[in-house]
Amino acid sequence: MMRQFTWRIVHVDLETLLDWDCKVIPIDVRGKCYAPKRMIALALTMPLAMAVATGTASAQDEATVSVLHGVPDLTVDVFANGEELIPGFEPGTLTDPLTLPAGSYDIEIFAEGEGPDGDPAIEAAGVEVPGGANATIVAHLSEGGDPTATVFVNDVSELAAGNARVTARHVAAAPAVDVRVNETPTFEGLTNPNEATADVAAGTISADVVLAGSEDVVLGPADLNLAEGTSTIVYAWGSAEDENLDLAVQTIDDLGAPPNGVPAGEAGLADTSSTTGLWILGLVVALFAAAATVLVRRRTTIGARH
Amino acid sequence: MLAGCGGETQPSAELSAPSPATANPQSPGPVATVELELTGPEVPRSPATVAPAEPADAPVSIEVSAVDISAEVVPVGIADDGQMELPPHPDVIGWYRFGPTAGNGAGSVVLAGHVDSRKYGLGQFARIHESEVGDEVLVRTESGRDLRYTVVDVRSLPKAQLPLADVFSREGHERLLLITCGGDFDRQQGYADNIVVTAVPA
Repeated sequence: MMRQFTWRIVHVDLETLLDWDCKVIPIDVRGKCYAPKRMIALALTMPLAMAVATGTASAQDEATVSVLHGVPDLTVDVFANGEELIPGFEPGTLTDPLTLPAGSYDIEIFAEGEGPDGDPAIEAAGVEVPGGANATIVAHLSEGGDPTATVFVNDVSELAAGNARVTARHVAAAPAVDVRVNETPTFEGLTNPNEATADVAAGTISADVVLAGSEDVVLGPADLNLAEGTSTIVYAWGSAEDENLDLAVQTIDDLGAPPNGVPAGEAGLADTSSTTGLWILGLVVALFAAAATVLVRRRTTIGARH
Repeated sequence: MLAGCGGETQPSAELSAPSPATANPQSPGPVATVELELTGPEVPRSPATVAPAEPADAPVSIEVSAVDISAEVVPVGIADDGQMELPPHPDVIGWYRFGPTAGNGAGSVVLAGHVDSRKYGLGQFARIHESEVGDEVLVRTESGRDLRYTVVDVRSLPKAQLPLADVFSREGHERLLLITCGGDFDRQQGYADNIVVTAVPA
């Protein structure tokens, strides 16, 4: 389900946006700074040149964006450019994909009811959403436990027939992990806030998450159906320290290709071509001719004896 | 496991990090941010939970009594060469398991069988080209559902012209496609054509 937005253009000075101080948010019992300066630029994991798709002008002017809320114990209101985009957004939930015009966004994520004038729990200015991209914005804890946000660009390239795509994203307050498939480490040494991806044969797998290089299971196992033609994105989110680590799943459908043919025969028994027909006819004629020759010889031989 | 059926590439751990947190290099000077005037209903969202895999109710048999076809159906996938896999015995019909199943309500349900094999001779689907518009097709599924279809089209077309995206589409009204090979046969190239019978829910 896509949502369309109407727009007015407002000019904002980027330098002003970047110049803000670390703030302590009243809701934070740990007294941590929720908005470290390093969080400012939510850069994308793909260069902009790659993210812009070829195609119609309108496709290049728009992007498909989903938002995942991965900060535990904090229902939030998400504001984009001063407007409330997602009210009452609960941890562990994912929006439907939204169609947004490409451009720059100031994201502010407030504890529910605190926006737009309160202090945001997470703030990110100048988030670039490039035209033609399919992306997921994730509000999550950093490895150190600070709420932050990361933009991941989703690989929506075509899958070969029979295949599925699986992506693992580490967005939890936890150290490096290995993502195992059927107990075999498949994505190794994954850290916050990074991802790993692979195209695989479609099917159901059992996945779990262990501390990197160990067999200490911190998440799962969970059965994942990697459906053919679909990309399954698995997020490890939450906090190891608070013992609320969890898995979130996003799927993107309709990426598959059909088989490239239906090869349904090999022996030529149903052949309809005329050359083969003649060949068979010729064989039959030759067989009759051979039989007739044998009969003639016999008669002649018998006749000669009399 | 992940390598799956023959010849798939091994997954690799590609770790991609976001760019360092500096001022966005793409926008020097003043930046135009789009101001939102939000209209329409609230943004839909749902719990991002792991969805259990739902096994499809696969077809198990097909009957086309008008042309004396009564065959077992088994699920098939993709062969090593990227084409649809078919059961080796020509009397056993393959259902493309990555597409919709019979009775699913939408898309193309593909059943294909060898017209012949070197080992077993002519197959049941050698007769589908004799079917006529109006013939009944009966498909039974694993759960015991009986689904009836009526033939609406019988055609032969060169393999290169088989419209793969349409034949294997998951969209649109449900239809049943019975596919085999036919036409001229060449020892090197095989059969020239695909025979396609299209049937719609009765």
